[in-house]
Amino acid sequence: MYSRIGIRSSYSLLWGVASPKSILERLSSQGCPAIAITDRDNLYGLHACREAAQEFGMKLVIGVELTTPEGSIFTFVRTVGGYSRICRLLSQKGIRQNLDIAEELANDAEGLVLATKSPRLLGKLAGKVPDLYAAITPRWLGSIPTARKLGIPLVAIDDASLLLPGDHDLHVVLRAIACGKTTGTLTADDREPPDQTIEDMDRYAKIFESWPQALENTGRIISACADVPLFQSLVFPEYPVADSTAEVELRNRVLKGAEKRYGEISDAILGRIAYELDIINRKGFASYFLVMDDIVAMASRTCGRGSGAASIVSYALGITNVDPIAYNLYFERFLTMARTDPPDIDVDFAWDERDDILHAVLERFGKDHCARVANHNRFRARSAIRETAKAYGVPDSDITLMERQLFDSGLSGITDPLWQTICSVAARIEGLPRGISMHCGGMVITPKPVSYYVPIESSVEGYPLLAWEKEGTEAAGLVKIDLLGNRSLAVIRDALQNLREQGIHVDEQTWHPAEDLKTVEALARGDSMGVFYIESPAMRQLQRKTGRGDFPHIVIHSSIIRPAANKFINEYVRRLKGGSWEPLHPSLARILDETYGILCYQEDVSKTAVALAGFSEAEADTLRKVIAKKAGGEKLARYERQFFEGCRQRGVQESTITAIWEMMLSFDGYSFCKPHSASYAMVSFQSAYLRVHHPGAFMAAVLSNQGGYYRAQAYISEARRMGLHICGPDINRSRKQYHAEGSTMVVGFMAIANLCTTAIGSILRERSTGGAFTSLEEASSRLSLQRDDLVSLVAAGVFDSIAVGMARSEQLQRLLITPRRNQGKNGQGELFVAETPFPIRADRKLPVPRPMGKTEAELHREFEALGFLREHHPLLLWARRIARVRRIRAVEMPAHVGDKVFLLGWPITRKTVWTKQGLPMDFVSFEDETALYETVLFPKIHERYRKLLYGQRPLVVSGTVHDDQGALHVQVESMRVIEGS
Amino acid sequence: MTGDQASIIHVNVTNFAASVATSRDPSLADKAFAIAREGSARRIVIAPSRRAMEEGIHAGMPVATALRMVPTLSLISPDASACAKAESAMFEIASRYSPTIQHDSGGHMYLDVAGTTRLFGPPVDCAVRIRNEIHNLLGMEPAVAVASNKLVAKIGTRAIRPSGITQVREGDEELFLARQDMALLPGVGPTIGRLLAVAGFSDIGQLASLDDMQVEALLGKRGLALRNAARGWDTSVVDPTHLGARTIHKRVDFSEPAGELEALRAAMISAAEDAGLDMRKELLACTAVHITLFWADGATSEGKQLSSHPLVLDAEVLEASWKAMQQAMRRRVRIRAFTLSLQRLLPAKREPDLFTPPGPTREERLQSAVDATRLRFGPATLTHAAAVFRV
Amino acid sequence: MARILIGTSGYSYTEWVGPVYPEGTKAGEYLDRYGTLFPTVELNFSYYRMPEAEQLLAMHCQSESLLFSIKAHESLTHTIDTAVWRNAAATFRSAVSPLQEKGVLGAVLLQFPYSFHYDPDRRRYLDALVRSLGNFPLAVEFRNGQWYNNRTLEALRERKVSLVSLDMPELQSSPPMMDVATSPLAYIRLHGRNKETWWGSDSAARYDYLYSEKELAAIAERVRGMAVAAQLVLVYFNNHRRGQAVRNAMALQKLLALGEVGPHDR
Repeated sequence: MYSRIGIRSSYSLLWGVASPKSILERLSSQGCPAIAITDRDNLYGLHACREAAQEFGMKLVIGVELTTPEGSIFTFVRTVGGYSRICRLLSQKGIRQNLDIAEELANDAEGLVLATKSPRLLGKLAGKVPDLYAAITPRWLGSIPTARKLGIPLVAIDDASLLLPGDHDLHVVLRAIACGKTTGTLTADDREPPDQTIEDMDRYAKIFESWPQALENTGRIISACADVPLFQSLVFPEYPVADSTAEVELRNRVLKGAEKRYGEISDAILGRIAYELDIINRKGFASYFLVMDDIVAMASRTCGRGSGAASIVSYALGITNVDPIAYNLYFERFLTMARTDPPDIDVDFAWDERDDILHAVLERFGKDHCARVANHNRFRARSAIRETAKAYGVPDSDITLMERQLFDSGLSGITDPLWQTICSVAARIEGLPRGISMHCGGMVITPKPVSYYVPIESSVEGYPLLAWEKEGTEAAGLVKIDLLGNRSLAVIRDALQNLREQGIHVDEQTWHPAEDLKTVEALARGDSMGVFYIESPAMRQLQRKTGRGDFPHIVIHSSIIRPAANKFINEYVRRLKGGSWEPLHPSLARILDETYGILCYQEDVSKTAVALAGFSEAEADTLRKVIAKKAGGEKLARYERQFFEGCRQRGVQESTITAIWEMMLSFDGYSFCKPHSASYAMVSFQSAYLRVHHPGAFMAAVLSNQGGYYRAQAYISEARRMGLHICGPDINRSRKQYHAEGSTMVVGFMAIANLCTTAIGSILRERSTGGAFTSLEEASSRLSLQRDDLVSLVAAGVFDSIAVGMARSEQLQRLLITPRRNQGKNGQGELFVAETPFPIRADRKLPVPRPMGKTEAELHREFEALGFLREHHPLLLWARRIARVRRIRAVEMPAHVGDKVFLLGWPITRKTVWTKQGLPMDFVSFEDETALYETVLFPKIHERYRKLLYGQRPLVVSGTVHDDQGALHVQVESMRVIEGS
Repeated sequence: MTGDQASIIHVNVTNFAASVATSRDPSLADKAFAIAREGSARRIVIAPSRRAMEEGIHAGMPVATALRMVPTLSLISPDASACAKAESAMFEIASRYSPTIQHDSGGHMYLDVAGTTRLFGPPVDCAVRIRNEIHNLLGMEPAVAVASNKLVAKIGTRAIRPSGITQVREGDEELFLARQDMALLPGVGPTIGRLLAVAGFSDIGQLASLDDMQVEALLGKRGLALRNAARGWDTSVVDPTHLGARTIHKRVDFSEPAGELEALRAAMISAAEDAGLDMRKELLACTAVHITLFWADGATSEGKQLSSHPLVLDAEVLEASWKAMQQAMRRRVRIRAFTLSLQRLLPAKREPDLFTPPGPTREERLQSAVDATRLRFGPATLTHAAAVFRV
Repeated sequence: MARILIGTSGYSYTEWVGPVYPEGTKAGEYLDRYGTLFPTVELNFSYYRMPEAEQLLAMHCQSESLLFSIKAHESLTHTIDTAVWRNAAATFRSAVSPLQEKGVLGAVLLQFPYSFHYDPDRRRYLDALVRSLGNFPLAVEFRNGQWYNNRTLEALRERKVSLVSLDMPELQSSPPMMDVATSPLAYIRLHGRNKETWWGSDSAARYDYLYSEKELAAIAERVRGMAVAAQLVLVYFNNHRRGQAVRNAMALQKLLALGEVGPHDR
């Protein structure tokens, strides 16, 4: 049987229709021993091809179809050098549109085999390229005369993109999407002719019967090109150390760091260090750790993610902040001699430092030696339908209508033949790659320029971008580092800085927030708004239900609160409160005791598979990954069989196996390993400590960094409930960000909507050079601000402190007049004596009651400008209407468990979930002037009242107060807006 | 009845496109639906139905937001031909009562019924009958106001919308406007609205009571126009010309032929701003700007800019005018005069600010225009230009 | 289409004996008589004298088919005393309630004088008053033009209170003509157009006016217009002098082709 070369897969973006896997599967079934997939001008699919080749036991030749204005050149990799040549060529082609590929190859095609069916290209390349073939295809013999004339050997290639004849529809739709045309307006140049199908092996043999030398040459190329020794080792630069080695340097740094962390180093610590270093060195990762150490040193503070947090080396170097000895974190989760994949140290940085750090890394290791990891974007169900319909020329409104119909009643209701076609094409397009973008944090560093290993493009953001996504990058041996942004690190940094200004120094060497009793107690009460990772309503409710705020439990809670694990959470709480439980199986007793017999961490899945079903470590790890990826399908089914079989062999009861398997499946999508949870919990504790002991600085930092779970208004209310005095924004006290002065929190200018940053800058500059402002007139003449900015500042009450007792309307009038007076143009300004506002009609000033000295209108403007009120809860804006509402206050809820109550509710946040029946329901957090409270809206109620939840206005919420294991919530029965005025 | 009584009638079918849809399909009467044009990018509600309005949907709201609020909201594409039919039917009804009808599209119509009293009775009686006929024949309920000028009539319909009828008697204009919400005053868009609100102006009457100097301090030089509107002053006539055929025209004559680009540009800016003001006073936008230059030697030349989207704001009009001007500047002769005309008028879809209150964006914008000119004509052509523009 | 009912403001005028009621009709028989002429009447006496339940019930018994609209007592609209108005409102409420229970209450008319300015205190008062009378269909008549603005209309719509449509002499500073449906009830009061006697004369002279045919035709159009958006339209002629209101009301009924008066169905 013949090998096949020159086939395009779906990685020929918006061109090819078949995944590498489906192509290889089909050809392999026909006995094809080797293949070369050549996608158009890219190597995006290389990883997928290698995986498929391995799966079907075929040989793979790496190749690419390089397009030129005169036709395509099929290029096959014969040596490592040839591979690099292609990588560089593709990288250059992306930058220089008019790069003459033929010319480039004519000059240097070392290590490559070329084939083309274009007579002109053959002419250009003949004599200059050693391994050159004239390509013939099942549909094209036109290169034969030229080949004869120039004495170039023939080779048979497929030059095809379609797996089945019916695939042409799909190809046409993809081309229409790519060209922005409709299937009807595509020209012949935009697409392939309908017969470019990958021929069946029999027919293929028959077609080339008369050209046996062409078939032979195909075989020749395969044997020359298969088994190129690529991707066989990890790629990472050697860390240069003068007069020494990376290993020695690493040991020195680790010991130094450990001394800082632990004080004197005990034998146990030393033992662990030696153990870890031994493995690290034997695997050749010393340089990698040194690089990470350097990167981390650039940041104010970091937080390790993932399994990397289980390493004492990382801890000593400051890459992570959890002591693996104290918290029982096993290094094997991170690195073992058995595993072949590179270690994965993911690190969080303060969100506002990350870009600088990424650039510093580029700077430090050289722009050519670094690149960001890509994402391969694929068609999803929705985009597939939308794009396909557009390709068929369907207008948007019709698409929207049909989307709804599809959502409501599925495919069965569709009778329109056009839509039937669209839906069937869309179903086949779904999952095909459509473009690449940048992964949020992944980056590789390479010893030689990156384009030596992989084609490089430029991302929209201007970063060098790899052709491959995470998996492909790893599979190629490129060691990836993940640098991610995290707002809470900036919160902690800013809070500590704010404290230092006030003379309060937290010594981080001796700071052990997890051992602070008050912090533990606060977390046990669920007082954690603003605290990293555990501030969501669901988390705070869990804290209340368990009543536990100690570090080990916070680690469990951060991990168990997965979307799919709801019913296990209830069981967890029951057991934690002393409810009786038996281990799922005696052999799991020791493994899961720490989490009350419930699978909690990612590694619990693999541990269980090993202990219960006799999986090997590696198999168990893959099972975990398959579940986490939600990949499902065949792979999962295989593992399911293996798991059930294994358990049965060990005499586990059928019902137990099912229960455990179900619990394992709840780890689909999103889950944590224990070191990761512990690492996060450490940040949670640091922020919780600051919240308890330095609430002003903490809340100011939370608000300044804008990134929490809640809106600014919710944090402001919380700050008030925490007993902080809120002040500003104020012309003389505010900075750009929020800051604290003792228990006073000063709102920053950043809170003011529509205030431009130049205005903030000029206020701060003028204040630092000229001192405080003492009057409106002075402020007005010292600052040259524009009308818009003055309006925003006045509305936010910025000048209240220097215009005591003056209505804001009057402030604005004066501010607008003063500059004119100062200009003194023709003395016009003299008409406006500063002390008299506009002589407006006597009835202008409406004597509306002035709550705390401000008019209702002023408060409304203030709310518009800030999103909250300076001195009150926003419910004040509805004060008059509210006065008539009969209700209890949220702080009184504990006295009303089981009662039907009425409450005022200012919506804070909400989370929609779907019931088993697919109906939406909501968890909504409200607050009134006294407290925050949680509510549940079951589907019927949700349906009826959801639209009320969109406005920023108070509601009257009525329902029954429930006590769910110590956490209160209101099960809503009805809601209404407060009417009247 | 006296001859000088208020005789301008403004008829406005609120959310016209939705009303037309309902009148064609009465089963829609009780449904929450919205008219929205298709286009995937950022769809906007053009007109909500009454029911949809009660649910909080308003024109200009993103469709996505509207659907979140009312998931059952149905979306209907605007039916241009049905709207045109309804408009000509409205026009036909109106033309029985007056020969002088200004028919702005979108369900807006002004009639001058002065002098028709003997035929049809007092204007207000006319207005009542027009309204009833529109309802009986077309199934739409307009808001109708009678006043002494178009501006006050327009505020009248805004005050009572979505439907009903009112009459502001000659001489009572200021009184009527005094207590209306500031947002009803044409020309109070988002920027001016916010400024006035913070300055404590909530009623039109408060703005009306400012003298020239005060209003200038508050809003800049062009504030006068807005203040005058607040007093109900409006001298524009009911212009029966088809809206698309109307133009807004400004002419500038130089006392001495001008050769400096700087002077020319300064004059053009003020002409463009004047024209823009006139245009926005009537809540119009334009899609064409035409410039004619009169050269000192008697020759003329022309420049024209067309736009695919409606020009509303000063910045937009200015940019187009300047381009048209540059197109027309083909000779090396001094310029005696020029005219600027805004053409292909159509109703502005949003409530624009009557003018842009002087502020940083404006100066930056001018500066960048100046820079562009410098680049083009060399640095010496234009100096201190910004100073000329400052109010 | 709405039900349109036409009547007059008040029925108990001695000067109507002759032009309206047959000679010799005694005061006690006026209402019987009136009930044969019109389906509805607007009671004005309640403005001067706080009405009592028995008295109103007696009137109902006298003419069972009549739908009554009743003007609120002056202590609620003209001589408001912040200390005691709530008591007055309660008294008024208990007097009127039986009519509502019998299904013969058209509306309670709140007629405010020119001196009732559009200011925050009065707006709050009106809000409070409307709430205290909230169970009745309410119609508000303002004589001060300041109230005829978009905020008032919005507030009335929100509370389902109707704005009284007026026809009165065109005088400077008097309210603008405004027919806007703010509730399912439309309430139209026709005061005549006697410009000369409007200010400074006794009420008798003020309401001395007879609408012409032409004017009535125009009024009929207004009524039809109001009927579009409302479910019930109440029209009352207040030009009571010499029974002119009755002549006009009858003529308007004819113009609108309203049927003969009979016991109204409800």
